[in-house]
Amino acid sequence: MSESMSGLSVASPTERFVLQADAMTLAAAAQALGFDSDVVTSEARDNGAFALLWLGPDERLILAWQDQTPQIAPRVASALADQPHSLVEVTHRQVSRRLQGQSISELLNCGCPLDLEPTQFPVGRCSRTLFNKAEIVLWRRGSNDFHVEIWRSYADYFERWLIEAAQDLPVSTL
Amino acid sequence: MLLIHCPHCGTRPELEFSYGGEAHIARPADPSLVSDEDWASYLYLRSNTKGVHAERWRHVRGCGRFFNALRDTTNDRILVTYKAGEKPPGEFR
Ligand SMILES: [Zn+2]
Repeated sequence: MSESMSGLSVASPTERFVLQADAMTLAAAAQALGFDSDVVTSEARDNGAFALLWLGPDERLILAWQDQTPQIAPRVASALADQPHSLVEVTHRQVSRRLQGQSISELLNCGCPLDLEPTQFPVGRCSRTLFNKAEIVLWRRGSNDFHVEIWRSYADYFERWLIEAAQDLPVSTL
Repeated sequence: MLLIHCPHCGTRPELEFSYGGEAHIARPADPSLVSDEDWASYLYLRSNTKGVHAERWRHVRGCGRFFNALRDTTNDRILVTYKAGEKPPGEFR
C-alpha cells in the first residue's frame, strides 16, 4: 500500500475471500478476524491485519494484508464450523487499486453512477457498483482516498478509462 | 437517471439493477398434481397490468438481493419497494 502517494496505485492484499452466511455466523467470523462486531450495511472496516467489507445482507468480502501464508480460512474456520456457509477464495480473481488525491471522487464519477458526496458516501462506506461496463467494489478510505476491487481482466479497461477521464478534469488527478 | 430504492442499501442508480418479472407468483407446491393448463399459466401467463404492477427487481450490481417493487406501468414511477418474501406495505394493498 502506498499511503502518501497521489493518483493511481496498486494495493496489495495477500488474500481475498467472499463469505456468505447468516447474521450470527457473520458476526462470529468478524470476531474471529479481530473485529468487535460485524460491519453494518454498506460499511467497511480495516484492523490492520484484515479488512471486512459489506457486500450484501449475507455477503462479506474479506481482505488480508500481512502474511503470504494463508490467514483468512484458518482464522474463520472455527466460527464457521457446523454452520451453513459459503467461503470462496477470490484472491486471484480480482486486483486492487488505490485512488488518492484532489478531485478523485469527481474522477470516479466519470464512470461510477453513485453519489460520492461525503454526506452520501462517507469515509468507511463501501459498495459493489459499476464503473462504466465493469463491476467494481468501491471503498472510501479517506475523503480523497478510495480502494477499488476490480476483476483482473477489467483492470486495464478501468485504468485506461481513468487516465482518459482525468484529462477532462480541471485539476490533474493522475 | 432513474433512482431506485433498494430495501437493503437505500436509493441507488438504475444502472445497478436488473428487472425480474412479475412478483408474487408462487410455484405450485407439487407440480405433478397441476393440470397442463394451470402449469402453462404458471409458467407463461402474466397479468400485463396497465397501472400499478408488483414486480421483482434485483440489485445485481449492488447487494445482489432480489426485492419487490410496485411500479405504475403508465408513467414508470416506482411507488414503493419492499423485501422479497414481504407483502406490499398496507397502504398499497
Ligand atoms: Zn441493494
